[in-house]
Amino acid sequence: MNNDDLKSALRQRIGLPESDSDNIYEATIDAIKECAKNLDTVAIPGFGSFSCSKTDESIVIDESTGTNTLVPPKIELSFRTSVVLKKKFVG
Amino acid sequence: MNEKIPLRALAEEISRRSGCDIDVAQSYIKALFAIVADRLLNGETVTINGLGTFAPIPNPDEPLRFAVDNDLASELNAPFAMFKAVDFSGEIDLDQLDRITSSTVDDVDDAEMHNEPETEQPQADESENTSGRDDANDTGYTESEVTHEDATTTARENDISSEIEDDVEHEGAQPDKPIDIVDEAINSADTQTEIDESVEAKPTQMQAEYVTGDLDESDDTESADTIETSEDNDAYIVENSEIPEEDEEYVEYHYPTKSRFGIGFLLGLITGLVVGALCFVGYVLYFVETGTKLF
Repeated sequence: MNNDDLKSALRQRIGLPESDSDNIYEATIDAIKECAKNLDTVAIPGFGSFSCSKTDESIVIDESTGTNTLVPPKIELSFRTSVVLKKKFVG
Repeated sequence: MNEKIPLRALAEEISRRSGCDIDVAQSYIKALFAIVADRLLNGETVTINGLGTFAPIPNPDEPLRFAVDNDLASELNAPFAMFKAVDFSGEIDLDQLDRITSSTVDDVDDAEMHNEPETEQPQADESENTSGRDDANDTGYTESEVTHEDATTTARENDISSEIEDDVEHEGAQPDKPIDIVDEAINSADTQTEIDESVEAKPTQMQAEYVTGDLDESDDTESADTIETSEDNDAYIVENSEIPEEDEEYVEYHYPTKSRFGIGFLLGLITGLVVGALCFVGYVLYFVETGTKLF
């Protein structure tokens, strides 16, 4: 399922005109992105949470080749499923 | 940063961006993710442009696999985009690594390392110096006086710097400072060493000048210097324990106190035993003379 399908399905559900619905859709994505950039955690009840974590730079030692690599820091966005949703999957 | 954003806050953000009602935004979010969840439960993979892809997997612990959108990932890592993984062939010196991660006042640290031993050693070696000196008692006395005053000076320095530390922190980091700091630190350290090592009656006078001078300067931005030196003191003291030279000194300094304790204890013990024995003997003799027993 891709973007457009989602948007149209949403439109049907919410009952808002097309432009408004798309607007809100874009705003939602942007809002989550902003939170990710601020390293905040966004929690969607019944679905899960998006969290951003920063890993500091570290030295990775590769014993087989004997090289030490300095890995730069990076920010990662990860997702954790909520318990409610997990139960739905199991059941 | 590292805050948890609840649904309400997210809805607020969305309504702010799109201009719609907060409640509408809230129900929109719920509906959006409900649809996504439904699709995922059906076994479909859902892609949200600009966010990432959700894929259902048969893992009971984590039934969803989320892959971040590439654009978003690069956007998030934009601040670190200039860095690349660097290969270090051979050993890495941990000291070097510490220097890389430390602040810009590395030069100050180096300068301080040369100056600090001179200031600290005279104070530490004070007890040894006074005993080992061939000079007259007068000079030895003034020297101990000097070091005592010196200790109070440094204590006062630290007090002043700790008081003003808050103000300086508000001012923020000043990149141009290191050069000034180095000069100031070297000057202040030099004056300290002069005071420690001089044997004349002048030290007390110089001491007073140094103290007043320091107090005057403390009001200025040069207080940053004292803070830097005190911070460097701390840094140096940490490193101190790792340097082999200091271990010798430390051991040497420790030895006199240990032996003093040992000898004193033994002497006291022996004296006590002797006195006790004498008392006991006297007591027994007294009783034998008068002829009373068991009383």
